[in-house]
Amino acid sequence: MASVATAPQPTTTEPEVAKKKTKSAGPKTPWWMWLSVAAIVVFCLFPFYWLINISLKTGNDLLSSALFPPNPTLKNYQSVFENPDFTAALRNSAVVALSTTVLALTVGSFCAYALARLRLRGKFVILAIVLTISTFPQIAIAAPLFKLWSDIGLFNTWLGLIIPYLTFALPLSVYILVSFFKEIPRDLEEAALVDGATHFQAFRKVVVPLAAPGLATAGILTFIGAWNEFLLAVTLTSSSKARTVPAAIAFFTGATEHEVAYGSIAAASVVISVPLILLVLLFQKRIVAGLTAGAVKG
Amino acid sequence: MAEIEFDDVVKRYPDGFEAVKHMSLEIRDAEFMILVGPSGCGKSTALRMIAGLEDISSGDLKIGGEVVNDLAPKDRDIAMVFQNYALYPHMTVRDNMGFALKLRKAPQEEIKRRVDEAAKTLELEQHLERKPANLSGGQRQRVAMGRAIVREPKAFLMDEPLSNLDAKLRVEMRAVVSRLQQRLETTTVYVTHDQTEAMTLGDRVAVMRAGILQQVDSPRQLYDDPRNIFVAGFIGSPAMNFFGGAIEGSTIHTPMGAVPLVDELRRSLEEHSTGRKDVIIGIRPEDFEDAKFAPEGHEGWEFDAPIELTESMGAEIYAHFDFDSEQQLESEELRELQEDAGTSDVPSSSSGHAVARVDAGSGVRAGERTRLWLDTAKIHVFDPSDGHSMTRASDNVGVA
Repeated sequence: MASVATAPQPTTTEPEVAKKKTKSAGPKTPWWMWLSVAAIVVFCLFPFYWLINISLKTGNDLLSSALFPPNPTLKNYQSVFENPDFTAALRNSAVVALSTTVLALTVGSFCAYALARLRLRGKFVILAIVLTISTFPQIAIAAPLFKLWSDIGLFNTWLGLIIPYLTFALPLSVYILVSFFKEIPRDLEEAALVDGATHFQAFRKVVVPLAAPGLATAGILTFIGAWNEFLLAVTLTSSSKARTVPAAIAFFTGATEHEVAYGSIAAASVVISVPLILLVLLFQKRIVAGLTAGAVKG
Repeated sequence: MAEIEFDDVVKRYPDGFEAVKHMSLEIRDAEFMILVGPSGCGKSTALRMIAGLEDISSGDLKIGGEVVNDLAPKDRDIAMVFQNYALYPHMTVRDNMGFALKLRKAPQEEIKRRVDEAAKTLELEQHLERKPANLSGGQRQRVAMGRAIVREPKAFLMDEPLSNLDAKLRVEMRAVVSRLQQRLETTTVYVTHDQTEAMTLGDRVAVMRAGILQQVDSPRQLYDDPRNIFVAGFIGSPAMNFFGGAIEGSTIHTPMGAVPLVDELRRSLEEHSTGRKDVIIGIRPEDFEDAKFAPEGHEGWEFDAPIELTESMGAEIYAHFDFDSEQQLESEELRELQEDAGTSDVPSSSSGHAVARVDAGSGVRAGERTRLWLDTAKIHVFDPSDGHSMTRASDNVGVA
């Protein structure tokens, strides 16, 4: 980080542009600021580095605390992918997280559109209640859900996870989408209506494409939430039929009964983190824009 | 192509406010009808009712003889141009213009042919693959027009389509709209608050105020023969001057002096009253002239006026002059007109101030007295009690 910052700025051919840049940059960032940034980055990323570090070690090396693995190996990764429980869990995670995302976006966009457009009494109250739901502690519903799901046969099924995930994902996506829909001029929908579209066509062909950044934000956040969820996944599943990756990793046993499965746990954790990291890096601008839309533009 | 008919149409909002009150208006096939009025007069609401974007509270709206009150916008086969253009930002110009045809599931080749054709008419060919964000205001406006004409609808509805353009472009586009409508011969309803557009574009102009239709006539009729004080004051720029006055026999007492009435005027006034009667007198600035430049062969009357301010427009001069307002001009209509138009547009009666348009060669100067001439045949007289014209030649057009 620091080395990047202190590197000389590329000289621009147009002096005016350069002048503008220095003006908007304000006073030069002091060295200690960059040092703090570097410290924070190391502080945050070191655990993840250590995870990778562990994932590359086997046997007695696992006890080593050297900064670099003495005999780096991909054996753990190999064993993880040979583990049928893990591959099944990957499939379960993908299905559950994607279904949750698609449903949350579909239902959420209808709900948000209504809240953004209809002349409705108590719109604010509805939105407030919707948001309140997302503050419920998960542990409060885990036990009752376990009982209920066992009784009605949803225990250890994909649907049994998708439904509670939706209740936590919807408030956020509704909230994000409302602020996006509000910014789309009503005239555009009216133009579509006059052009011969039904209300639904106007929504699908004009409103939704324009709210795409909002949909992307809500979708990514929902996906991440569902992908990472642990408590409900552990409580509401019992076998590789529906168990998602975070829960499955917790049940990892080593190659032998006595071995602690640190190595494979670490490898599995790296494997499921990578898609999320890529997703967030690709869309980070969108996510920030989505979270702050409405807050700034009012 | 179709005629559009309002039959006693009312728009009432849930809070009881009536935006359009018992409007009856027939728009003929292929006619260019202008709805004009101050903001909040209900003209846009009326237009949106034709489009189906506003419900009709009572009365019937017919398009092509068919009652369409409960028809969805998509089933009315009507194209609308919005004030802010409302182009779909995520589509190219071509997709914008072809959107309606695509929804109608027209064959690809036909969509392409018709979009190309419209683009040619509107000189948009080289912009077809661009997005609206990359177009200038005038180009966006043309795309909005193109989106309407591609459909070959029963009627065009235009909601102040030129108001977002700068003055020069507006003049250009006015001509484009006019030419287009004449060529396509499609029934057009055009909402504007710009009276230049109203006067130049329309076959007929419907003047509205506070949800009530005031007068529907050709621009010429409207200008020469306004039905009431509101129309008289609203149409024309600079606006008509109003004076308090009285009629006595064959003379009309004005703040400038007693003016002899021309025969024609006297005859139409006699129908209304006998003996002395207080009236409101309306005279357009262009019916004044510097006495030196008075047109020959016209009956006129001359008076001295203290010029307070002159505005030279190049081809003409606006001379503002004061007069002694011997009686306070009082009319509810006039007061509301001033409120609607903003007092600056309508010379206020109480300030005793009027505007005359005089020849550019006139030597009028602020602070001096100048002899002005007045075309006595062009005097308008209004009844102060209800604001109706007492000099109107005929009351033929069916307006409530």
